Order: sequence, then C-alpha cells, then structure tokens
Amino acid sequence: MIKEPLLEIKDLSVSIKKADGNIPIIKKVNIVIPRGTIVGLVGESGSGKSMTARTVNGILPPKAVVTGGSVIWHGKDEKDKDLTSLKERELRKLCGRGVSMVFQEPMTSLNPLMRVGDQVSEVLLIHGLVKNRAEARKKVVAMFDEVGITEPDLRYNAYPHQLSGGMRQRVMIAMAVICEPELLIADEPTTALDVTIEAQILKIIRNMCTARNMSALFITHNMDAVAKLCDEVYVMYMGRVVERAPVKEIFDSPAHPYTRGLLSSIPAIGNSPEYLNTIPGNIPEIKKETKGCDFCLRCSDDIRKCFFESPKEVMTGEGHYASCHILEDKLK
Amino acid sequence: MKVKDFIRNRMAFFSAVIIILIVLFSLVIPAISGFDPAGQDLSSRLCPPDSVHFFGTDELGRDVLTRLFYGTRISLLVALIPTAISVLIGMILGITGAYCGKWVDFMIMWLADVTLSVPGMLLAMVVLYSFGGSFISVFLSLVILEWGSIARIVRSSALSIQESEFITAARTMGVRSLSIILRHILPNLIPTIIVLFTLNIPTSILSESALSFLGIGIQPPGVSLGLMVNQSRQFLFDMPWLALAPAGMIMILVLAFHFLGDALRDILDPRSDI
Repeated sequence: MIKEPLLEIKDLSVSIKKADGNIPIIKKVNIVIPRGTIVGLVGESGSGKSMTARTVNGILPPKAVVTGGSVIWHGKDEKDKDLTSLKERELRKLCGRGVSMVFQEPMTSLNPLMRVGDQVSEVLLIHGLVKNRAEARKKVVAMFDEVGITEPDLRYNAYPHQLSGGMRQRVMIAMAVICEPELLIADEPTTALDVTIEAQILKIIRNMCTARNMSALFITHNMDAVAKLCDEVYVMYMGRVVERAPVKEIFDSPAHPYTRGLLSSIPAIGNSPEYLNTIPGNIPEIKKETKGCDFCLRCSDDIRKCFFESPKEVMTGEGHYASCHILEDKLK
Repeated sequence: MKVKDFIRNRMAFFSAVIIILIVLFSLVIPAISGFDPAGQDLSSRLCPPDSVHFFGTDELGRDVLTRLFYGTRISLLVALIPTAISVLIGMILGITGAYCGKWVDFMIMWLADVTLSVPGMLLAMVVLYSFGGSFISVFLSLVILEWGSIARIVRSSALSIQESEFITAARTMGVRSLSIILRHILPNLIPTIIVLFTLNIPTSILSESALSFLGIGIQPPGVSLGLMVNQSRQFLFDMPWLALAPAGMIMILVLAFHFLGDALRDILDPRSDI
C-alpha cells in the first residue's frame, strides 16, 4: 500500500554563501514523508541532516541559501505548497500549525524567564486555537499529562531551570504537539539526555504519532533510536542521501558501504572491548562540487570508477535504494 | 532571592542607603531650611559655617546648605531624565538593529559610531551653544552623549540572546516578531539595562557638572552643583567650604551610583546564580 505523501523534498540543494563562491552543503536531496510514518534521517555530524530539516521550516542560518529544488507540502489546509518559495509570514503561519520542531538542546530551547506552561500556552494563543488563558491552561495541563509530566498542574508554573533535562524535553514535545501539527520534526531530541530518559522520550514521540496519525522526521546519529522508532530510514552522507529503505531492510541488509560502516560502529556486548569498530577517516572538507563518489576516500572496497563518476541510485530491494557503483556492478 | 542578595551585598546596600538619603534631603531641606536658594542677604555675605548657616553663605549671602541640596535636586533631575531617555533610545535602537540586521543594523551602528567618534564634550558644547543653556538643551546634549554606547551594548547582548535556541524555537512555533522581541528578548535584557542605567547616571552627573562649571550648562539664577563649584572658584583659598560642599556632593553621588551599578552587575549576572 502506498501511503499518501505529506511532505516531498525534491532535488533540494542548499549552499553556504562565501566570498569565494558557494559551498554546497545539501546536494539534490530527495525525501518523501508519507502520512502517519516516522522517517529517520541518519548520518554523521556535518552530513547535512539538520540543515535539511531546517530548510523545511525556514530557519536556515542567514548565510545558507536554497539553490535548487523544492519542498512540497501536502497539508490538510494548504495543498501542494512549495515551502521554500513561501514568504516569511506565510511560512510562520504554517509552522506551529502544520509543521513543528523539537530541538536538540532542552536546556536552551526554553525561555529561562517564562513559566513553562505559559510558553506552551503562548503557542495556542498565537494560533487562535483557544479563546482565553484559562482554556489554554486546561489544554496545556492535559498535554503535560499526556507527555508524562508528573503533577502537570504544578509543573505549569515551573520555570525551566526548576525542571530536569528530560522534563524540559517533554515540555518541548508538548509545545510542538499542542497545535496538532501534521508533521513533527525532531532534531536529535535525545542526544542531550541519558539512556533511560531517551527510551521514554522515544516512546512518547511514537505514541503521539500513532494517536494523532502524525508524521515525523526524526534526525539522529543513533542507530539504536532509529530501530526503536522509525518506519523508514534515509542515510545521509556529505549532503547526499546515499541509501533509503524501510527500517527492517536497513538493519537486515544494509547496501551502501557507509550504512554498513555506521551499523558496525554500534558497540555490541561480546565484542572485544579493546577494539571499537569505526569508519576510517573523517568527513572530508566540503569543497566545491566534486566528481566521483563522496565516500570513495573512506570506502573499503572502492573501484576506479568511484573517483570519477557520481553513482546513480539503484534498487536493491523493495523500497530499498542506494547510490553506489559497486552495487550497480553487482546487480548488472 | 535577588532582594536578599542585594541586602547581603554591603556595597550595594550602603550605596543605595546613601542615594536614598541624598534624594530625601534634596527634597526636604530646601523646603524646611527657611532660606530661599536664590534669596540674597547682602548683610551676611561669605559667612563661615555657623549654627544658622551650617555650610556658611556665598558671596551674595545665600545659604550654601539650601543651595547645595537644591542644586543636588537639579543635578539629579538632569542626571536621571536624560539617562532614562538615552537608555530608552539605546535600547530600542539596539534591539531593532540586532533583530532586523542587514542595512537597518548597519545604519544604526554607523550613527552610533559617528556620535561616539566625536569628542562628547565638544558635541555637547555645540548643542548648548546653538540652543542656549536651557534645561532642554542640557538634556539633549546628554542624550546625544550617551545613547551610542548604550545602543552598542544592548545590541551585542540582544544578538547573543537571539542566538539562543529558544528564540529559534519561538520562531518555528509561529510567534510574531514583535512578541518575540517583547516577550522573549526584552525580559532577558532587563538585567543589562538596569546596570547600564545605574552606571550611566554618574556619567550624566559628571557631564552636567562639567558643562555647568564651564558656564554653558545650567545658567544662573538656576542652581546646580557644577555651577556652584564654578561660582566659588574665586574664593577657593579664602572660603574653601563654598567649593568643597558641591564638589563633595558630586563625589559622593558619583561614587554611590558607581558602586551601586557595580554591585547590581554582580547580583544580576545569571552566572553568579549557580
């Protein structure tokens, strides 16, 4: 069954403007987020995953500009809108209602001088979803309860510094979900939290999505979290999607050498403790447009072609695509 | 919490008490001393301090104590109002510059740099010469003197607050620019603004005194501390109390506001909370 798409990122390219020419940071990325699915976006730091998400709700840093492609939104109220061409005001109206975002750092993503409840209420009031503060408060308290904040009525009046990291992240999720958005973007929401809290937060996000038929774009570098949460996975490397597949496929039969590297980097009990598997090398310095496969310098089994020609996407399974010359040759 | 910190900080508390006492005296003493600050009594000119005139009298027989506190009243007024205005202007322009960025920021900062690059006293003199030594022109010259540095400081604090994730978060939630500024940026700037305000008051007091001393600030028959120092110049060696009273008052006021500002900066610094 093909689900109806909610957001389509088509051939998106983003560059950073520099005096001596543009530096491409996202190169022709295609991502489809169907309704009611959680899409994971994985990759190392600097692979462009956060930038892709930030393009969707228009909070790219000022130096970064969209140089090509489009982000098509198929929301309930707004049909087929290109988010990259919307004016700031229209985009802001849509964001919070249609698309909302949870950030990585719960310590800094709440205003330290406002009561957390008021901050969540503010969102409701801005979008005109409630008539007055009292009604907003009622809704917020109910939402706090739903995201697992104990004594929600009491916590409504708390200041951010009085809450723990996990609690703050719950507040952030409550704030993001309270307007019943169709898409939730979570940018490494659990990176700053410890493991037990991480599991709880992932569960909350999962429950929220199922209960509301909400889609989510979940950005992480944690393969464990992906396995727990996502339906589909996109693997990004140096601003390109190198592999995409349903979550089971990625773990059962990773196709791209980079994905295999990521998966084998997960430490497992039983492995010798002196040896931690890594992908050799670092992400190379992003320069101008390069020829050849971006991964060729770190790939364990490169062939001559990899240095001169960009690989095309090939299908390796149902809904499973990867961009790699070696795969291409194997499949021929 | 903050109030407790304030009382516990001896410097802050002591300075605040001194300032409050001076303000009270400057309001009360000219009214109850029984002398008119401008009332001349040529029969008792240049009296040394005694039980009738605690600080003696000046060359026209006016009571120095009454004039001292009356002058303090004027000096405080001249210090507070222009400082408040320049903090307000600096705050609005600084936040606007930081929030709008681009050419708006460029223009505002350029304007601030221009006023900062001209020697302040010279600029104030130009204003006072062209508009005459009235209250309004003293106000105006002090505002021109001060707004630039305040705008710069507010802008840089606002820029760092704007970089915080919660501002980005608010934007993604669809909060409008005006309410981002009023509800999220401004409250976080208040400690900076309070400190800027207290630390700029002594600058204003000194500038006003300097301008009046040079004879281009408050004009007689008005009274101000700087003007009193000016008028007592010729009797400096014979009747030193005429100069010492206003000069001492200027010193005490300036020091008190300085210490208060410093202490407030320590108390309101969020890093000292931990």
